[in-house]
Amino acid sequence: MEPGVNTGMGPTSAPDADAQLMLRVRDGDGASFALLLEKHRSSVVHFAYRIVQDFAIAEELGQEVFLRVYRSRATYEPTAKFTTWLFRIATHLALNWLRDGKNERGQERLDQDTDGAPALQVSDKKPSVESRMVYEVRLNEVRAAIASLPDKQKAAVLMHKYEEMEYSQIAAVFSCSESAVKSLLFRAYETLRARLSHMA
Amino acid sequence: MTKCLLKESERADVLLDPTTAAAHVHFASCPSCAQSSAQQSGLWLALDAWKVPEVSASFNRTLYEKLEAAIALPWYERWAVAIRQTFAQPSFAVAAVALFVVGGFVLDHPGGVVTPLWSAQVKSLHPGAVQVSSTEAEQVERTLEDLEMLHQFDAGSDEKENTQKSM
Repeated sequence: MEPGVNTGMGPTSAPDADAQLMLRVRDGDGASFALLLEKHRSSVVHFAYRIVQDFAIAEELGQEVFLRVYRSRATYEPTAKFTTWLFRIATHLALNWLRDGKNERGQERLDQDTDGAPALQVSDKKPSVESRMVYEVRLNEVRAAIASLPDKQKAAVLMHKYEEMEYSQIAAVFSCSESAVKSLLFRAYETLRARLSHMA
Repeated sequence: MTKCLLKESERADVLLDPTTAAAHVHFASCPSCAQSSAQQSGLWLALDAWKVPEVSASFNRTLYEKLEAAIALPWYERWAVAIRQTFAQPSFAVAAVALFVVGGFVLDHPGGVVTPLWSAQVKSLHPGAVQVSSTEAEQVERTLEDLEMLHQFDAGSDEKENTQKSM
């Protein structure tokens, strides 16, 4: 965020718990920043990861999101839910990264087993090679289908499906109406249904 | 299968929130949406397959290192970073370009009177040509509108004739 501006979204009645923490960060309380980081680190990194599809890049972007939050602490005003502001920054950074063409490496990896991510932990019952391969194929199809969506639809689906954000919150991230978000999601899911119909 | 008669926004409502009473009522009478809803449930399951790994243990350490480095920067470099971030946004870039153009225009016309270049050229060629009163201008405008109407009328009657001939 830039100096001299607030979260840039409409007024809300009372600051949420996270916004209260951020106000304490503004007053110089480093422990509150650590709490916010602990609470939202995973969701921000995972959201960025599903957009850029490279875990190392997603972590860098996640760090940049929290850097920006910290840098703009002095001018922070709780005019929206904290997470709305957080995801606005995350969306902006991740989509910019895609647009800047830095994703060539990431796109190449769509067809590969690894994506810069540490291996998922598996349970004691190790899956067979065959089921693991089936999983990988399905996963790659899901990732490719989401990657093929237009930027805004992609971000909306990820916020709605994986971050379970409400329509109003997604609308606040995009600065648009709830009905516009629903329309965006409707079209995105229509495309995904068509592309992944064989998996349903 | 018959096409759903709902508007897109209404279809979005029932398909995005299929558990509502309104959605159930609609699905009972619309096989197309009922099928889409079933496919949507399958899609949710397919999307659930995308598990993500845990954030690495070094995430916080690296972040705090970056924070310390950012704090250690001299004030002018911190400002440079902030300004870069601000002007990286497209809206700011558009506003800056607009301000630059308007500023240049204002500086170019310090008197505040803006005279189009072509106006001066026309005046120099035909000194009396541009002295048109508002009444005259209105008359010219009306005449042009009338001509346009006549043209449309003619075109319409031509079309009619052609249709009759072909029949």
